[in-house]
This record gives sequence, C-alpha cells and structure tokens, in this order.
Amino acid sequence: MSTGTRGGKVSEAVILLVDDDPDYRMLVRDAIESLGRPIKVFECVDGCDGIRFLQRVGSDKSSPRPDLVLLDLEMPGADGHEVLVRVRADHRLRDLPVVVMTGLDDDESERRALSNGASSYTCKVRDTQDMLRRIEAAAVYWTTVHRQLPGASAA
Amino acid sequence: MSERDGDNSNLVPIRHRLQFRVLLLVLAMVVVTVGTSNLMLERLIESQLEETLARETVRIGGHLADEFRQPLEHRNPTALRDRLDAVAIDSAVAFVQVEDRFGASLSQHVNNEDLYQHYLKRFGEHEQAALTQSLPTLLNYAPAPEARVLRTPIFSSTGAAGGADLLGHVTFAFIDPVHRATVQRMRALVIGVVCVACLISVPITALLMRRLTRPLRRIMRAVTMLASGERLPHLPLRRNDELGLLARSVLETAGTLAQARSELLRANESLEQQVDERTAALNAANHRLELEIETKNEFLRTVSHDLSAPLRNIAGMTTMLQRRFGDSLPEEARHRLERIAANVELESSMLDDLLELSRIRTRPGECEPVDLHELVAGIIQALEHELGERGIECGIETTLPTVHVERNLARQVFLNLIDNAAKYMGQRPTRRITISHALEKRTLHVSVADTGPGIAASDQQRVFQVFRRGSEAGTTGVPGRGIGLASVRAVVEHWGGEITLQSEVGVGSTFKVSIPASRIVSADLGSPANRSAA
Repeated sequence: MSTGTRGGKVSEAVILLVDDDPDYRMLVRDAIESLGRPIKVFECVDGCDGIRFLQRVGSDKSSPRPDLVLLDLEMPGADGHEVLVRVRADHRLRDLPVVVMTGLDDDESERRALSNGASSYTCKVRDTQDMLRRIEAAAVYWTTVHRQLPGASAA
Repeated sequence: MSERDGDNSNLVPIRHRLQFRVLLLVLAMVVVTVGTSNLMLERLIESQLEETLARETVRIGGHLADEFRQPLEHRNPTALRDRLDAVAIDSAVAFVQVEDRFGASLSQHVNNEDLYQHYLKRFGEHEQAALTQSLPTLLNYAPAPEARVLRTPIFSSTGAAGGADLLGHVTFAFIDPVHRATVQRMRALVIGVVCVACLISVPITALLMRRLTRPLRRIMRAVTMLASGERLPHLPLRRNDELGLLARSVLETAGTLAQARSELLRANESLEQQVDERTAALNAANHRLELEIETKNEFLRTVSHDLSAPLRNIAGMTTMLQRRFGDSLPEEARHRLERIAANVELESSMLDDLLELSRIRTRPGECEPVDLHELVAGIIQALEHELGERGIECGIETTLPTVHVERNLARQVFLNLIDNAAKYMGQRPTRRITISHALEKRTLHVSVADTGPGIAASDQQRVFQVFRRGSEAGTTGVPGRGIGLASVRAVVEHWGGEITLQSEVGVGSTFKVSIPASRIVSADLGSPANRSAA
C-alpha cells in the first residue's frame, strides 16, 4: 500500500520514492522538503506497490504521473530491476526518469540497472552530507532542469 | 647369408660377418693343409722315383761296362761302335760315350744334345780328377731332374778286381720318361684335390655356419626384444649346446624381466590409484575450503552491507535533526547529537573498510602489467603535501619492476604502507621513508622502510589484524582505524605472496612485500636509480 498524500496539483513537481526502508523514506522526504521547492513526494513501500502506483491499478487509479522515480533495488517481492523492466515495457512510462538509489555499489548491479533502463544510478553513500546532496541534486535536476529540456516529455 | 636383415635393423650393422670370416678361415685351412700334405707326398714320391732311377742307372751302367769290355780289350773300334749304337737305340738313353783310360773320348752316341753339351761343359773340362776314378760315379745334376748321368769304369776281365786293368770309362745319361709324367700328374692331382676340397668345404662351412648363426641371430633378436617387452620369437631351446644354453638363459631372463615389468606396472597402477585418490581427496578438501571462504566472504559482505543501512539512517537523521532543529535545541542536546554523528561516522568508516577488505577477496578486479615505479612515484606525488608538512623525505631507491597485478590493489598496498609510515613517523630526528626492491630466485621483495618509532616485537603480528593497532605510545593520537595493514596483507596473500615486518623500537620499521617473481613482466635490474620522486 502507498503512504503519503496523493492526487496533488499538476503544477507541482512530483517525485515517487520506492523504498522498503521507512526511515530512509523519511530521510529523503526531509531532504527534499528542506529544499523549499514545490515538490510533492509520494512513497511506495516495495516494488509491487510502485508498479501499481505507476500503472494506476486498483486504488491507485487516480495517482499522478511522477516527474521522477527514486527507486531502491533491494526490496521484498518485486525488486528494483523488475520495476525497471515493467516500467520500460509500458509505452506510457517509457520516458519516465527513474533514478536508482541503492546500497549496492558493485559494478554488476549498476550495469544491470542501466541496461534495464535506469536513467541514472546513485549509491546510498554513508556520508550523510554527501547523501543529502545527491538526493537534492537528483530531485532538482530531474524535476526542473530535465523538464525544461527540449524533447523531454513533460507531464 | 640369406638372413633377413630387416629384422635386425635396430642392431648395429655387422660389418664383418662371423659367417664370412669363418668361411675364409676354413678355406685357408683347407688350402694350407691339403696343399702341404700333397707337396710332402709329391716329395716322397719324387725321392722314391729318384732312388729307383739311380738304382736302375747303376744297374744299366754295370751291364754296359760288361758290354763294352770286349771291344775295348780287343781295341776293335767298329765293334765298339756297333755296340754303342745298339745300346743307344733305346730312347731312354740320352747319350752314351766310351772313353779310354785317359779320359779321351773313343766313341759316343748322342740322342739328347742339350744334356750332352751340359755334361761336357761340366766334366769334360773341369773335373779331370773324377775321370780317373775307378768307382761308378752317379752325377746328379742337369736341368732335367728325371735324367741321371753315370760314369762307370770298365776293367779287363782277367785277374781279380785288385789286379784288373782299367780299360776306360763308359758314361751315359739315362732318362726315365715315366718320372716326368708321374711328377706332372702328381702336381695336377694336388691342384685338383685342393680345388675339390675348397669347393666342398665352402658350402659345407656355409651350411654349418648358417646352422650356427641362424639361432644366434634369433637369440640376438630376442635379446633386443627383451627391452620392448614384445612376444619373443621362436628360440632354439632344445639344442644341446652352448646356443641352447644361451637361448634358455635368454628365455629365463625374459621371464624374470616380464615378471619385473608386470610388478612394476602393478606398482605403478596402485601408485596412480593412490595419487588419484589423494588428488580427489585434496580436491574435495580444496573445494570445501573454497566454499567455506566464499561463504565467509559472502557473510562478511552481507553483514557489512546490511549493517550499513541502519547506520546510514542514524547518520542521516542526526544530520537532519541538527539541520532542522539545531537552533532550537539546548546546547547540551546539540553536543550529544554531535557525539552521535561522530560515533556513527567512525563505525561507518570501519564498515567501509570491512567492505573493502571483503571486496579484495571476492572481487579483486583484473590483472594487468603495472609499472610499480610509476605507481609508487604517483603515490608519493599525491602525498607530497602531507609528507612535506610532516617534514618527511620519501624516495625510491631502485628502479622498481613492472608486475602483473590488479592496479587498484597495488595502489592500495603501497598507499597504505607509505601512508602508515608517514602517519606514525611522529617527531623523529630523521624522517625518511625509503622504497626499494630486491630480486631473489623466485621472489620479488619490495620494501618500504621508515625511520619511525618502530613496533615492539609483541605487537608485530597484531598490526596485520583487523581493527588492531600497535599499543606503543607513538600510535596514540594518530587518526586511523587499524585496517590498512590487514587489507595490505589480504592483497599480498591474494597475489600468492606474503608481507613481513622487521622493526626495532627507536630505529624504524621495514615492511617487506614478497610476491612470486613469476608476476614480473619486465625487470630493470640496473644500478639503483636516482629517479626519486619525492
């Protein structure tokens, strides 16, 4: 199931956070909110939840199309790779920016994620300041800069 | 001589065959024996013939003396002449000559002029003394051995032998026609017998030799085949001579050899089986060990990975707390938050190191030719600022070789070693770090020597363990987590080498990285280089 408020206004940038660690979700939400930008954060607790949200299935029928998905790889049920494959297989979501944010820092995971269609790959580094900077940078880039690029599909 | 030489192709070629030599020997023997015996026989017969001839000649001489006495007594030359001619009719008489008692020729009849001339030449001029001899004289001379010349005195018939008057001499040459023919026949016979003997002895000898050499060759072949262990050819075992004995002993040897061979084979087989068993056991043990190591590494990796997630959250939350509510919190609470952050950071970095250590073992990367000299020079360059601040002199003493290793791991090893040496240098009077190498037969040693405070013997093994640091005073107050040397050791052992430490408190420490020389790609073994890169 999804937590957080859904169905926000379209003028706001929307970020979907898919991670099974509630504390990490809280941290990311804090980091993004501390930016003071009009960004709305939605949270999904695992891969299945994320896929339902993105494909607007069942209770998520009215969920908005996010401008950015922050996706964890290691999750119970459908993991990040499966989410990536399902998202890229859906023609409506083919252009959706999906940034993988994971604790796995080996080359193999990164290769696999990128070949499955990840837009970018970021490690959950242990340095807090660094990690917050990464989250903020990703949020700002994909919700503002990327949206304004010519050819980028705006929601 | 029709032996199949193809069978003996593995033997040394026989230049002088036994058979040929024996044949020559037998031929020589036959020729010499038969020839000598025939010659002796010929001599015997010849002397016999000569004796007969002499006897005959003397008998005829006596008879002739009687014949010519009458005409000599009566001094009747006509009668003498008639008698002479009558005697000389016999072709066996070469010549007849009647002389008076002074040696003057009264009359002669010559059938063989050569013989007569020869006689005259010898006796007519030089042998005057012999002419007056009163006894029959047999003259054995002449180019023809079958001829005999006899000079017989003729005495008057009156009176006794002592008182009889010497009337003259009759000389005649007698040729035995049979003699010559006999001797010639004998010669022909000798040659014929020798030839026949040779003709007979050659095939017989060849046959005999064949009988001898054929089994010999078979035995020879058998002996050659002994070594290869093939089935032996038919051997002349039943012969009751030396060859049979030889064949039997060859067979016996073959049996012994075959037995020894089969025993050897059996021993080999059992040995191979044992080796296989041991190898299998070893492989199984190795596999178990590899599995265990793999499991352990996986465990380490998982643990440090899983441990880091909550830690990350703690760190993040703390930072967020400080950021968001820092101003509204009392001083005491802010201080506690700082302490939380510091501790989390420490543990965080320890986990990082653990992860790094497990990565060395599970994901070492790829080997490539790494110029150690360049690499170490680069590290010194990178640490230049830090080294300069501490007043440490750092240099490479020899031109380090290029080795086949993982670049990132090699960098980690030497960075750790040099960084460690610099960190623990303290305020020593001389502050120097020296990197050098030495090449042994199978090992490459690269040493990092410092003039630091040194490490006590009791601590020397502990420095390589994870999270362990030397307990000397020099190490206190030095920022470090004590994992560097553990990862250095992990890398060096991963390369199939070892790291050793030589240290004396108050003098300095030398860390020696020893790796198999087989990893050297190229080695410049020239004189110590001066390309110090500090």
